[in-house]
This record gives sequence, C-alpha cells and structure tokens, in this order.
Amino acid sequence: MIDFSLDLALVAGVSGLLSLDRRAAFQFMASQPLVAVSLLGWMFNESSLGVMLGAYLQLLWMSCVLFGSNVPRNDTLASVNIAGAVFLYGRHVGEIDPAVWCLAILLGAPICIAGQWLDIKLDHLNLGLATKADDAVRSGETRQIAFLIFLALIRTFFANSTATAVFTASMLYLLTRLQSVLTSNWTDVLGVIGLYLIPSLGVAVALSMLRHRRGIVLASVTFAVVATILTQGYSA
Amino acid sequence: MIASSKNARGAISKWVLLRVLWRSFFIQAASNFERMQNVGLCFCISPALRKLYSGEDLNQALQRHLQFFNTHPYMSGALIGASIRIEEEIANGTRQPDDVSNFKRYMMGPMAAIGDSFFWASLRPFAAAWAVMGVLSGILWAPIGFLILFNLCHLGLRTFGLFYGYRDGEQICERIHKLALVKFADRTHYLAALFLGAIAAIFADRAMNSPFRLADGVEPFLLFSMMLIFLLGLKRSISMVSLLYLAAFGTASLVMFLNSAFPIM
Repeated sequence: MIDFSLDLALVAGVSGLLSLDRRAAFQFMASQPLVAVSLLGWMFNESSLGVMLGAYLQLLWMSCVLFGSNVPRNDTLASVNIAGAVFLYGRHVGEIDPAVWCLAILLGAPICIAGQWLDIKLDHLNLGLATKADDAVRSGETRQIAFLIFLALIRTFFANSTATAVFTASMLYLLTRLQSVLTSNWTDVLGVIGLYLIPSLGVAVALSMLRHRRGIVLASVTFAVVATILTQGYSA
Repeated sequence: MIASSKNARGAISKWVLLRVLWRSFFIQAASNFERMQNVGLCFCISPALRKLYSGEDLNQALQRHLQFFNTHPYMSGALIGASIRIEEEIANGTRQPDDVSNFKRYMMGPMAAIGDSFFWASLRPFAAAWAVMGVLSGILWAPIGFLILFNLCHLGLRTFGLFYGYRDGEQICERIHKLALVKFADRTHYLAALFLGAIAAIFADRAMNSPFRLADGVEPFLLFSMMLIFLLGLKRSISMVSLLYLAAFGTASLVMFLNSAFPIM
C-alpha cells in the first residue's frame, strides 16, 4: 500500500511539474504527450511502452493548441493520467497487454475536458492576482509581483497534482475491475480498437492541422508509396 | 515628461537583460481572462524598470505594463526588448510615456499571429510528426530529438528577440518580418504531411502483421478509409473524444456481431 501511494504521489508530482511547463512556465514542450509519457515510462522501467504509448497519445491530441486566448483541451493531464494508470497497473496489478492500454485510453480520454475546465478555473482565479498586482504597484510594494507569480505557479502545480492523484487512482480501480471481467470477445474489440481505430483517428487529428489541402493529398500519396514498399517487403 | 529617472542611457546591462529573459519564461504564469499576460509582463520587465526609475516614476512605469497584454509567449522577448528600449528613451525624456503602451498595443497582435502560425500550427506538428515516425521506426530517443528541434527555435527566437529588440527598438518587428517565419511555416506543413503519410503506412503494416489480420491487403485500405472518415468528422467540428467513443461503440458492435454470426469452432 505504501509502495502504491509513493508511486501515485510520483505520478501526481510529475503531472504538477508538467502542467507548469504546459502553460505557466518555460513551455519547453516537455508537457507534450510524447515526452511526458516517455518520461513516465522511463521512471517506471517501461521505456519502450512509454515511448510507444506517448506516440499514440501525441497523435490523438496533436490539435490541442493554445491559440490566442483560447483554452484548449488539456492533453497533458489526460496523457499523464492514462500513462500513470497503465504503469501503476503494470507495477501493482498485472501484466500490461494491449487491451489494458486501449482500455486506459478509452477511460482516460475525457480527462482532457476536465483539464480544460481546470485551466479555465485557474485563469478565473488569476484575475484576483491581477487585482492584487494593481494594488501592490499603487502602494509601491513592487516586489509583491514576484510573490504573486510564485502563488500562481504553486496553485497550478497543486491543482493539477491533486486532479492527477484522483483521476489516476480512479482509473486504476476501473481498469482493474474491467480487466478482470473482460471476455475474449471484449479483448478482440480492444485489440481492433488499438490496431485500427486509435492510429487512424490519431493520424486524422494530425492531418486536420494541415492548412493546405495539397498537404492531405501529399500525405495520401506518401501513404500509398510507403505502404506499397512495406507490403512488398512483407510479401517477399 | 519624466525627469526624475536614474541614469537612463546605458543603464540596462546584459545581466539585466538576462534576468528579464529568465523571467520571460513565466510570462503566462498568472494568465487571466481580463488582461491576459499583464502580471507576467510586469514581472518580466521590472528588473529593467528598476534600473531606469525609482519612487513614484517606477510605480507609474510598472502600471503601464499592467495593462492588457497578450502575445505569443515565445515572441514576447522581442516585444519586451523593444519596450525596454522605449522605456529607456522615456526615462531620457525623448519620448512620451504613451509610446510604450501604443507600441505594445499595435504589435502584440501581429507578433502573436506570427508565433501561432510558426510555432503552434507548423513547427510543433512537424517536430511531433517527425518524432512519432522516429518512435514507430524504433528510434527510442526520438522524444529527445523533438525537444531539441523545437527548443532550438524556441530559445533562439526568444533570446534573439529580447537582445535585438533592446538594440533595435521598434525596428525589431521589421527584423522578425524579414525572418519569413510564415513562409517557412508553410513549407514545414508539407514535410509534416509526408511524415504523417508514412506514419499511417507504418500503422497499416503493423495491422498486417498482427493477430487481427483480416485478409490479404485489406488492412491498409481499411485504415486509410477510417482515417478519411475521421478527418471528415473533425473538419465538421466533431470532437476527437466524441469520434473515439462513436467509433469504439461501432467497432464493439461489429466485432460482437461477427463473433456471434461466425463463431470460430
């Protein structure tokens, strides 16, 4: 139980730090699903699975972009929770097979909406900080502004860490319950979803980012050429 | 006109600019819906303003930077650098305090548009598509490559913007325009398209080598058709999560039906 709590705290802590990178500080893109999930995979000794799962999730959330004042779906929170639940399952429950991570993606995908809501709430709370900054400057306490920035960072960190702890623990519970009652039919369904549905949806999301129609034509031609080369190699 | 300023000309050393650069990484920390990045901007620029002003002048200068401000975080360096130069001239008495507010007001939108177009809509999808293709081809360090590729541009432009912005003042906007980032962004779209086509082909190959193989050569067509259907759905503003659930439900129904209609003995 202590081991599990420590692992959960680790996932929550990493999620808090990554949430800072996502919007509040640095924005080095370590919070992108590909990097975030790879990092978690490395921490849980599941490097290859982490990188692969990160690649799938990166494609699925490729279109989450912070354009202007728009608050997009929170891809970081969703990815870290999905990966966290999968890696904790591998360490504390049983073997991670494709059905487990497919189920985790299906269960965890809506967390991006909860994350978006959390971001909006944090932005509303920051309004108070802007008012305090006005007061601080008016009264000549200009050093107070650094403290306000620190407060905003701490708030973002704790809000995201707490959300991660709750979501990951709930997802792990659901994963364990569902995995134990899955029949072979459902394992087939999850296999097909993991093999066809998630990749094609991921590529479609990424393609939807392309500004020119010629880009989509180019992608289709590349697909045909590479698929033919790979298929011929396979037949040979 | 501000007369009680400190030794304004040349007061901003490289060390001060480095402090401003470090603080610019936190420009979105207290982002809010009313005035967006105003607290972050005030935090960034305050080391420079402290070198230029003191007392009530400092408070007034800080208040100028607590107004509405919203630009692309990576392009903020250029605007901050140029604002520091204008503040220096205000402190010298050669410009009006309103000039800095006007400069920010007119330039934050165009800079945000360049940054959004270059970083968010082009470089990030391009670098991510390249890294995903790398991962699928077995290159496990591809995520690190993604970080290096992206941040070379990010840190380069942020640092260049701040230092050259301070040197050139308002001319920095012309300099950034000359970098032709939007044109470069257009080209990366085509490269990203190439990578995405290859990624889809690798997925098709994986499906052909899996236990869920359907029939000879059907898998690539199936994957491609699903991709186009999803693309149409996304273009019609159906969210990714809704599409995922709709398709998962459809897949589950189909597999259940096929397994019950054609049971394997």
